[in-house]
Amino acid sequence: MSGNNSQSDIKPTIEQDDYEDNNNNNNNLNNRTTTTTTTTTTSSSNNNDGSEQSSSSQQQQQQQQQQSSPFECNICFDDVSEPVVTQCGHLFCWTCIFQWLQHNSSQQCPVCKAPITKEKLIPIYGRGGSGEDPRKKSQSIPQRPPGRPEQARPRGRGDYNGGGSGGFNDFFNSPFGSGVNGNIGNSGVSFSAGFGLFPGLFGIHFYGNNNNNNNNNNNNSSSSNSNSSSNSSNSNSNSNNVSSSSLLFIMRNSMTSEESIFVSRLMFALGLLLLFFVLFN
Amino acid sequence: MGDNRATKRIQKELADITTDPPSNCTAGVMGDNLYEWISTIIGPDDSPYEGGIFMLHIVFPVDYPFKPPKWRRIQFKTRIYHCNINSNGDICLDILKNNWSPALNIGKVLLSISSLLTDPNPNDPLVSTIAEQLLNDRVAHDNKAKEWTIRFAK
Repeated sequence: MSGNNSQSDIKPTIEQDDYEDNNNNNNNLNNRTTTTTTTTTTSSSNNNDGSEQSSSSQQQQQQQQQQSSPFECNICFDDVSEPVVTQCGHLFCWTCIFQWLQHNSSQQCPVCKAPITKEKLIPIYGRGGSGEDPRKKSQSIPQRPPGRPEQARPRGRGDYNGGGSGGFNDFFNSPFGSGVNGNIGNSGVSFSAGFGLFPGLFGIHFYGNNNNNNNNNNNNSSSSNSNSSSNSSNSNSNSNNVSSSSLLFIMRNSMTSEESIFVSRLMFALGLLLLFFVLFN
Repeated sequence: MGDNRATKRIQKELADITTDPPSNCTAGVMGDNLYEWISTIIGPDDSPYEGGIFMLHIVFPVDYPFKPPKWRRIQFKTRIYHCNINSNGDICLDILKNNWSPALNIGKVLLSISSLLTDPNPNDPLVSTIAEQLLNDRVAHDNKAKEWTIRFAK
């Protein structure tokens, strides 16, 4: 118990050390080691019969420091190796939780009893550490499930309708400069009225291509895209629209300029074909 | 490998329980074998076992913590008059059977046993005569439990 008390006495000083300036780091480190070794020697003198060496007390000190770590496996109570986290947020070594799921037929989280499945465990990849796995991987234990990154966010239904015409306009406006844009911008009302669906489809196709190349740009453009669409529907601020949409086009585009012009012209031609097809049938 | 891990885990638990034991409980290794522990529970204040010191013998399984210290592997060594603890000292406790979880530890098990002393569960008895007495005549039950505590646990 005395070891316990002295530990609680010393804790605040350690925390204070942490808040002090970096300049004093070395001193602090020295302080810390000396204080903790005193606690461990007192506690170990309770357990053993006073036959401790400096090396063993340092080991115990390490153990005590580890005890306060929040990154301990809930099964082996040790620092996690190959960490995985359940959907309920509880941390385990992959080998530990795998073995538990083999033992336990009800497939529950050991901590909160929430149902868990092997497939839904999320691996945690820290910096380094994978090479320092203290436990040898046995062949009976498979690799932990891989991470499942969320796919690039598909644009929601609402976006298709709202941003679709914008995408369409961007698409058709930008490569042809302001002159063409004026025409389309003026007749844009009839376009979007007649082609509520098609521009959206083109939009999807276009973004689908770009998604693979550049996610960030796409996100940016999709958010500002809806702005430009509202602009174009007003068709008062045409010049604004031109600059922003062509800028968007450049931003969004990670293809070479020839490619992009080719693609957009192709789409434009396709669009015109469809328009004629619909009008004259 | 499992052996090694169980040993590590039991060592951790031993360190935890020596530095920060649960209230009214102690535990430690019995002899040289890390897998055999001896533990004491002091009878809770608000129970007929108040003031008694009850010894328990705990044997960890090799596949601990995936399996709990099993039936007849965690036993009262002190006689106790309790409907969930029989004359061998075997304990009927859900977390030692189906509700075991590797996130539990011996400290928590001892606390559960301690609260079982305060709140016996006559609906799932191990000694049915004591359970019936508890349900029908609580005063007589408590008197007998006190008597046994004085006789065996002090």
